[in-house]
Amino acid sequence: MISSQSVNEIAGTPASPSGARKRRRGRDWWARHATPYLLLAPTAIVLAVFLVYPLINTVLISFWEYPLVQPNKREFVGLEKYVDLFDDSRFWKSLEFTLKFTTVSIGLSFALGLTGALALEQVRRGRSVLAAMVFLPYMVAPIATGLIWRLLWSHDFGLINYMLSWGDLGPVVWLGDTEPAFWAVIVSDVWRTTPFVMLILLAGLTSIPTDLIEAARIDGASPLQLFTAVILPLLSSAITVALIFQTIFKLRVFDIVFSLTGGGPGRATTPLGLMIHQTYFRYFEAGEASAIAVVLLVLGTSVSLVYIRFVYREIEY
Amino acid sequence: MILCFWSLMPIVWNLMTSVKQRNDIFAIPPVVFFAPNTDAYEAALGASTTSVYPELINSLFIAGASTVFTLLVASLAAYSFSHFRFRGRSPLMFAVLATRLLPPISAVVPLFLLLNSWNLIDTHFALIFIYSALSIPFSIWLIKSFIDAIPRELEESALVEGCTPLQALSKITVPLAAPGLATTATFVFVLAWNEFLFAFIFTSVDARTMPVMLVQARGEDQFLWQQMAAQASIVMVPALIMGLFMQRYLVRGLTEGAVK
Repeated sequence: MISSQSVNEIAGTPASPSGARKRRRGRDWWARHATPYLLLAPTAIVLAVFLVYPLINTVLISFWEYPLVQPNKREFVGLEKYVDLFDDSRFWKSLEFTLKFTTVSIGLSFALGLTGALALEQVRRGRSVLAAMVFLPYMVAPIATGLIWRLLWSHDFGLINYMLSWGDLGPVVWLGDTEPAFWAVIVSDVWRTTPFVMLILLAGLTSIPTDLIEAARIDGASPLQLFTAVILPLLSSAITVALIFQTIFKLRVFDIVFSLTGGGPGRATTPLGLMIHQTYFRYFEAGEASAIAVVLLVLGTSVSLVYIRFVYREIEY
Repeated sequence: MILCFWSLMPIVWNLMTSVKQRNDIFAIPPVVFFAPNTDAYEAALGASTTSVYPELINSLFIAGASTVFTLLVASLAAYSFSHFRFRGRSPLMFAVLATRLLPPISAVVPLFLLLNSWNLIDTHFALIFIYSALSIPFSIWLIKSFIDAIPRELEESALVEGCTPLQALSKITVPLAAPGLATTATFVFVLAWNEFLFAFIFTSVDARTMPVMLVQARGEDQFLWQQMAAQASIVMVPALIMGLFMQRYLVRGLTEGAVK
């Protein structure tokens, strides 16, 4: 494009002035209108190939009998995989664990996160150092979190059973029994994710104007009233953000369970993510694995939609 | 105080275990004072069959390359979103956000088939692209928030002074956005460094990363607690240091990029 133009110039083609202007305007138009899209192209390509295309394919494969090792036995079976799945007690158990894990873990990390944020807000000196310390667990890889806590939950020499023995409790077989294993997973995960909630809530708290709180105090509000009538409503947007992101991250839990309990005992702590993995790599059933993946996708998408609506509303303000 | 104990105790306990003798690890009541030994670290970092060097190099390379690639791609897009008003801008921005919110594990099955047909299983390439795809969406939002904060007048006045658009970009916008780029880089690096699921599925020998190593190195018939704790520490410490480093921008990262 550039070369042809310079050739024109060198050849001294007596292009009419208006023609030149039109050509220039054409180029400007292109520069102005194509540039933003060109800048977005690499993003679009990477996301399309490695995220969007596979996700669409997941939905398609879920309608197929799709054994990995025997390509000639692949056939379209419609909704059969879903019918099988909904008949499978393992699926319901896994779904139940996923939802229970998500709600309990979020509830606890919120209770702890809010308490922590309120406490940190009181700290005047060295708050940032303290916040940095408290935030560290969130940086630990979930897979390492599982291993670290395995040490602590250990039946024979774990720190937790030792501490329980002070109060003449235990020892508890933490990772070998259904109920204790559930709580072990919960506590380990809450340990890692609470800082996330805490920091977002702390940011929300510090952005509340102090004179607002002062005014309420002068008007005779009790600490409890102050909290429920002033602080909580002003914190609601920070809470929503933290809540939705926690939900999205916890629905896809995999790593921490994998290294802490391996999904056991039995299948007691097998989340949907782990079930996808097992169905695919142990039984080589791509169709069934995809059907589970679609269920997870639907769950994740519905939470995301709520979030996106929330963001839209925020922007309108 | 309680908060700090709760947050740091497991980390410290793991570090302590990694330098304990075998019988100290199993001692009841737990031993707090002991002569530390670095056997496990020597085994992990020394030149022997127990060395984790290949995995360490893989992890560093994959996380580093993903970071560079993500920053390149995402800053182009962020600049586009920040500086141009074009048709489809806001739907595209939300489409980008939406891809971040979908559970990546749902993409595993077709991704495996795809990478298999391209012979990319167990290569660094596969993970670099996947990690980039996972990080680009939040990176765009994060970088965009930093570019948005730069006054447009600065760049415009540079143009008036006779800079070319490219000069204005390289002399004004990029230096001013540098802290934002550094923050984003840290987030991407930590994400790629800590990632387990895809690394576990798509690598086996050549491109195996540290987190995968961690779960596969349990020992044959007994748990090698000391070694495991040492390796867990090796995985954990770089991320912790980066966490301290990006402390200043953390909340912003959480609420703008990783979150918003």
